[in-house]
Amino acid sequence: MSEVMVNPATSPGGLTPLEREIMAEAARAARECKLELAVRTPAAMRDALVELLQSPRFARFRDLVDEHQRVDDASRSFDIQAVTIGIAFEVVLGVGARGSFGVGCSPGNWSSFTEYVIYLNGGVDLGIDAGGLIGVIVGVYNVEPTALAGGSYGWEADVGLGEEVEVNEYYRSQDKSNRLGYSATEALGEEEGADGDYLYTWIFNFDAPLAYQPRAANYMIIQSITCNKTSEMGHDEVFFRFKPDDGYTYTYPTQGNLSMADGDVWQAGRSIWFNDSVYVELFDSDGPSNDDSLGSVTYTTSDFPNAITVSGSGGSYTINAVLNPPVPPFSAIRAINSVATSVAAPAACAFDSKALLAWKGSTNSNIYYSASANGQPPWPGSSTVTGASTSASPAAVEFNGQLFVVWNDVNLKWAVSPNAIPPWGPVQTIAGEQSGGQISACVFNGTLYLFWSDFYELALLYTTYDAARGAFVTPSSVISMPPPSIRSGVAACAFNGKIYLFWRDNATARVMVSAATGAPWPVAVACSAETTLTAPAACVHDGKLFVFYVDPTTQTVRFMSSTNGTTWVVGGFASGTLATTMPPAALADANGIDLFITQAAGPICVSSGNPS
Amino acid sequence: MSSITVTLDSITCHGVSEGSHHDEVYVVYQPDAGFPHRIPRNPLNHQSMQGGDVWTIGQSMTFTRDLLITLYDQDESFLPALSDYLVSWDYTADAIPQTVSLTNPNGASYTLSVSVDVNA
Repeated sequence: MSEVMVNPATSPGGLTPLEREIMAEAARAARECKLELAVRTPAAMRDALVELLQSPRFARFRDLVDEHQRVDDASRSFDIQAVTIGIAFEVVLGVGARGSFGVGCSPGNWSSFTEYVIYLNGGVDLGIDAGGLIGVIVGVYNVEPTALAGGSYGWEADVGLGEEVEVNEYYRSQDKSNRLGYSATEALGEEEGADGDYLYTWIFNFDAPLAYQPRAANYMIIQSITCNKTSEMGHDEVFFRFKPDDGYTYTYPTQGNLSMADGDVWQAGRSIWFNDSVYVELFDSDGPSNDDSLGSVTYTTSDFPNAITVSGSGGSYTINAVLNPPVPPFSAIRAINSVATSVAAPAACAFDSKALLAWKGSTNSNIYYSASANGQPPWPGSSTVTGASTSASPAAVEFNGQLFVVWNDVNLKWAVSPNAIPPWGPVQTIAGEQSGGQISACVFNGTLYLFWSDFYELALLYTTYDAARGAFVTPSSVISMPPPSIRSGVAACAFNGKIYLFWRDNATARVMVSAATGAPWPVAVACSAETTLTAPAACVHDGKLFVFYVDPTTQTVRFMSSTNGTTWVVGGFASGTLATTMPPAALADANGIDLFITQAAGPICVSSGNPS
Repeated sequence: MSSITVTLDSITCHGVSEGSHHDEVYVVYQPDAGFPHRIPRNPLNHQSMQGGDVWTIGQSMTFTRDLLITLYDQDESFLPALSDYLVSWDYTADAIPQTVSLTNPNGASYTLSVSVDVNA
């Protein structure tokens, strides 16, 4: 910090006429801002202060300060190296404290967010008898913003600006040596200003302006940066700056850098809003004022390379970025309510124009069910299927205006209700059969079908409901395979005049499909190279057949769709964010698809979407 | 486009940056390139961590497109030039690993643990 040389030609308070005009203009602009800032939250205030200093309201003040940089020594008593704007406050906590909170920057860099810091200063004052915000305060100092940190002493200065403006002068020492600068604010009537008060100033990292961006039309993410060759022996200390639409320049990381060697990959993940273009430049940090460019690129919406190699200072780096990454077609996942939990996959069907879920209890063998008019949380409380006791996931389906639920209790059992209101009809048995996995129900050409894998995982079985007898017919085999082939259960769905059956192939983990109008079903083929951890789920929406499955690696739900049941388009993640090891359930209506997922003993969750 | 709420459950330190016995860790999380938030909120505070330490956080964060979490080693002076970047991870709406382990060539090694808040 340099000792301030006070110009002998100065006028009252040690300020030159230009400096007095600066302080007067600062006080005038600050006075106009007081009310609108007082209603903001502290976080919003921080941003607002930066914007204020850059606003037209402070244009005259900025011009005067800029002029102060240009004039000869005779016209200034000190160098303005920092400008601050803040909110002055008083609080009473046993003793009073007063100070201010705000932002600071170097003059001439008004539009550069990177130059701003946050400051907080304060001191005790036994004379304070009222608390709160007392106004906007603007300061000019002869040290750089970061050097404002530390202790100082303040006095009210008479600089001849009248009673409406309060100017305080600050010194490092109590003997008024080593002047720091001046602040201006609206005078508060008869209250006395500072009189040798001790203040301490903290300077903080200002991540906000270094990082925050206003929303714009386009969104990109710098996903990763690969070091092909460092600019110097060993490592580069890498950071990057980006400038959207010729506006502000931002830095990432906002502090520090990442040391990178040949072959290193930095998963940067910095997202950027912009309208037309973004200029990105990599640097090797060699000190505060000696950064070496490692190359740059300008992205536009019409010229957006997902991978581009840049070079500079002898270094070579590849930047991987994505423009307007698609958002998942399904909503964020939510628990259907606070009480529904299960240790097995839920079953979903439409019943009485509502979405209906049935599931095995997480702590017992009961089958619970609940219906929702729109499928969205919170779902109403559940009821139980009278007399049902299941060891695995049930199946539920509406057929002939009645609700059927099928489950596994040594044998396959089922019950029916005309209105989904307990008590249900008697529990009945499908003779001789047990399920080795998830049971699936499907109505096709006026017939109710059930599909399941047998207990020994040797075959995929099915039966149909004989409405005349009120019973299911003797099960038959859809397909037989060497064990253990069909372990995970099956999903059935009527589409384009056929029943489509999907299951997980235990050898390849792929999603298999076989479609027919009825037995015999042809040899299954894999839908695609996609693999699944569990049995899939299927539904028809908007003329397409959708199949949902659990990605073995991420344990999140993905989906494929097909317009013809033969060729499949991988649609990506559906649930997005919730990991599960159990099959999902899918239910489609005119508005889209509701996807139901549960974790082990966790809540039953729903995610809704309208995938194309 | 719906928002996703995750909770930063904890940060586990496996190694600190070179030249120090502890990292004075603070977190900056930034949803959708929006306003950055600091943990701890008080800029005077940080979490002193060394290998084996677990910092239980429990901070809920909501985003739509992506959520960038950056760990810094705070210098006591609070000056920007003297804080160090440790590690970072960008969570996107279609990929939220429950744990992610990150390293910095300077020796810093941390695991972030998050969970999706289905009751948000």
